[in-house]
Amino acid sequence: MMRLGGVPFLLFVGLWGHAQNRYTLSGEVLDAESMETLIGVTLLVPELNTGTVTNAYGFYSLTLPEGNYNLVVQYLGYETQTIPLSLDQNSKSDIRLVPAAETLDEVIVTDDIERINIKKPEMSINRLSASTIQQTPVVFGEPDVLKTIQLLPGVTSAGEGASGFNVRGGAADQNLILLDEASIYNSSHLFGFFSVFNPDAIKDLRLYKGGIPAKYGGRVSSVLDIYQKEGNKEDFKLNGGIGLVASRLLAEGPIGKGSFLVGGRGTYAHLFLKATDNPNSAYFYDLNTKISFPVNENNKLYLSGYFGRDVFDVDGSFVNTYGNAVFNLRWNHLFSDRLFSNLSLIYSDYYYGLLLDFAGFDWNSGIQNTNLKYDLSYFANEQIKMDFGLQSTFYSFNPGYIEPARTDSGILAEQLLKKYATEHALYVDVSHNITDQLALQYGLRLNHYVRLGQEGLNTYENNQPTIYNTELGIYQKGVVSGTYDQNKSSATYTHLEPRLTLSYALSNSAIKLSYNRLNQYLHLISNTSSPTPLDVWAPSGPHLKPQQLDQWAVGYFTSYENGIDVQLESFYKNVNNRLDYIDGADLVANNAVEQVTLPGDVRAYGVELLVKKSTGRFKSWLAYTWSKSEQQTQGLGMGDSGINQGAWYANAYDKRHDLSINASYTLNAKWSLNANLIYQSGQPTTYPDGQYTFAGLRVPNYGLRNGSRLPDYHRLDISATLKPAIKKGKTRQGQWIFGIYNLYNRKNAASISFRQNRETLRNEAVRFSIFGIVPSLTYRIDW
Amino acid sequence: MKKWLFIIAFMTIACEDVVDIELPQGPVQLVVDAELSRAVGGIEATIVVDLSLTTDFYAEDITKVSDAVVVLHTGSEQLSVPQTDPGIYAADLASLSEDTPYSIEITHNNQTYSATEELVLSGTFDAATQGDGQLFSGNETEVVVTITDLEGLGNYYLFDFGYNNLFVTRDRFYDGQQFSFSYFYDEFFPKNTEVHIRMVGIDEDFYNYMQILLSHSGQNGGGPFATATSALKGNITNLTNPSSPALGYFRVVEHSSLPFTAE
Repeated sequence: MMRLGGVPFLLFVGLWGHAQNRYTLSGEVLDAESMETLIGVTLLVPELNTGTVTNAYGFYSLTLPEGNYNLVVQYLGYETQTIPLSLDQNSKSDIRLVPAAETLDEVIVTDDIERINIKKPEMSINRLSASTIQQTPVVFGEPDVLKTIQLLPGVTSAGEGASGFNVRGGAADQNLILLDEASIYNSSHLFGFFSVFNPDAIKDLRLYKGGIPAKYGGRVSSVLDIYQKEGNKEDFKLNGGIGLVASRLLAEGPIGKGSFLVGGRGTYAHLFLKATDNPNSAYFYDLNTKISFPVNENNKLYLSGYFGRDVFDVDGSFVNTYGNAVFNLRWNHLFSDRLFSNLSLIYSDYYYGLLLDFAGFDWNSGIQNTNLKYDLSYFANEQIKMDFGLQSTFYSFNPGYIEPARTDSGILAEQLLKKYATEHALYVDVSHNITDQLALQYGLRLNHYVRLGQEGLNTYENNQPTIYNTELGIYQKGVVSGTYDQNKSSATYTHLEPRLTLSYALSNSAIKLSYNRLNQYLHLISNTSSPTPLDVWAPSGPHLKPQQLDQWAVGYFTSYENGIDVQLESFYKNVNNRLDYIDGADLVANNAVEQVTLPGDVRAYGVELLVKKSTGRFKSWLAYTWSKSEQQTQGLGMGDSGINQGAWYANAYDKRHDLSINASYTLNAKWSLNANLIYQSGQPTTYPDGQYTFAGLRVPNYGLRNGSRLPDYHRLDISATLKPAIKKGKTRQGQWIFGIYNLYNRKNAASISFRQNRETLRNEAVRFSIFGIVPSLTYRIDW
Repeated sequence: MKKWLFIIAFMTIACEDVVDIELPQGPVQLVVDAELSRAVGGIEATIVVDLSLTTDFYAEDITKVSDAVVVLHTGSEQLSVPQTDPGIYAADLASLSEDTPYSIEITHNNQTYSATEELVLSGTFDAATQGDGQLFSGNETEVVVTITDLEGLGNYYLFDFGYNNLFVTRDRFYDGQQFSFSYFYDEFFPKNTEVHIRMVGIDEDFYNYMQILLSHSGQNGGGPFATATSALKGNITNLTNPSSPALGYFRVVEHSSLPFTAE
């Protein structure tokens, strides 16, 4: 048990309130053209070797001793501003940054500013701007958030056409995905070909792989925090893109003092299926909306909404519909120029429906959660900033309501056991500049989770939901001894989570250390290598214990005058109570998944290197990760040896080598070029070590789990963007994006299956690959 | 222009091809496929035991086991099961009783293997008729199967539709009901040829075993949603050397069949 909370808090109290003759400068940083607030803008005071960044609502507050300063305001993609400042009273100042015109000259970043920047006590965080996502070549020419973050170090996916993403050897259900602070349960459209985030509607995203601040909790692997644009406050704007697969349209503009944004996307039906006379279809659509409304100087309201659906229809006999819906009302309130608050009320819904007409079977399931959050930031002085707040979530899980699809169907209507839970958290997080060299971010989060009582929860003999049959050598369901009383079927877990990041600055580099503990109370019940929409989430309870992670990371960060940043990080993490499934576990419509699961441990460790050049004509990043991710399931202590004899074995997210290179070159005002190169070790899998016959079938005989690997994955993508000059007197700006995905047409294996050929009756290994070479063309237009 | 590119994009996605993959080599194991069964509503029973060995995955021939001794035990009675064809051991029984353990004992290469099961009752197989529905490729043959389930037992069924088309189902959603569902034969299923569709009532353990076996045999494909594969253990234990069990399964079941001819 780590006890890291105590000491820094003492320090913090000791430094409190020695300020005198200090004044506060506060306000917002905005895009000068659209008046959109900007997140994460750095404001530096070189004279004091200190600074701050704007928060998620574009707000900043700097409390400094009286004096004359030069305030340097810096943000990627914008021109750096230096504002002379003579601070002799509290003042408000909104700062407008001008987007950098496609400057072809190298930007020289002065040395002392970089030094302040680099010593921020944050690590394992990657930030991507909307323009990076727009420019990265992806399959079908559709810009995609999840495909772009997979180019970052430590981020992989289970393969093309696989849902979700994996961070530092973690599973996809261990990522907390927030869209304007609301949780998203399924991040993929069309079984993983697209992500649910409309890139045009996104302002900013950041991915926390470690060093996770205390305001986030509930998932152990990472946090992907995505903010939607508020909408242009100056002019009405329309932009759209027409692609081979999907088209999108986004409108934004001012309403009163506020702004709105509405964006929609849709694919053309019949996409993956045959020609137009085919009755089958597969399509998705989604809608992003946001309204911002400033009530007065100190109060602002925001309303965000997201609605998305996927429909997969095979001639009406198999119809699958699923998607997220999110609604969020937020109230920003400034108590003073140093105390910022945000109250959020969030409702999030995930729906999954499956109609199997040929079996007369209709299934509807979903998760709803209602979430109340109150987050405050206190900008104490130039050394200390404090975030604190509380969060409360109520979950309702409906694993499925099954009903007959036709009147002549023999299916019996049945409601699978609904489950309910609440999760509360209190947190405090402090950013603290101790000396010019040493900066800390330390925090503590207290979670209180309650699985609410329900009917029909089984009790088991000897409290063993899963048992081992020593005679047959297999795991079996435990013997049900009864059911819990409704008021005794609950379970309560309380956890304290320390978080710490330390940064020590050297001349133009910094050494950073971090530790965090996180608990996860929800489990995605899935035994496939990547999530399927059919997977059901289950809350922790008397039988399923929460997953608990401890992660340590150490890093070296440096930046050079020519604009090159180098980040080297190493991490080690350990997760307890990660569920493993017994061989042949049947998870569909299972009211008692505890009978087919075994608790296991996961450990992952690795080294990540990121070399990035983000200014000038030629921009590029190189990300390389060496890592291992392993699972150990030792069994129940009933004479069993667990999975794979209780040894550590590679899990599906173990990608030993992972290299991504992204490069872009601005040729001239019209043309720019972009390329990706990706190489990944093959995913662990199980190959047969023989065959036999049973019931007339030829059956491959499999050995230990994940003993082999698929062939290595690699590909090269290129794209070129043509921006014709704007005609005189017109404001319309068109853009052609020509792309080729998988240029050398490598058939990367998504899986290899082993079977008897139906015609030749010979056994064969069959590679299933998804994308060969895919040329694409997208036209994008801004009015 | 747009249309042309659209077609290219379509043609290059999602393809399957046969590849050469070097595979690990496991030890040779005995494989037991044993069924003691009677017809639904019938009295006499038959035991059929098919014995073979595991072999290299790419090998064409399967080695049958002709030098084993197979014995069926019922209470204090013993029935020797003789070999009738290479690797096939079969015998008839006058009747089967419920709630009675039946054990088979197989001796091969100085190792004795054993499995014990009881009779599992089956619902009735009412009809198998041709439907006109299609699934993905448009070349399927639909057969609509109607069964009547036994109420309150938690029944499981194994269907053998012929030509290596096997399918398992359970009464999880249709307990005690008359229930119809469709099975789709692929394009290799012959038209105008009679097959006998065989339904067997099975228990939960054998259902789980067959689920995994069918997924291993590649009957329901690979793709990104494939479940993690692992060693498949049946119910045959090795009494001589418990750490090296035989593969396969012994079940005591009721069966019924109906003829079906596709047009």
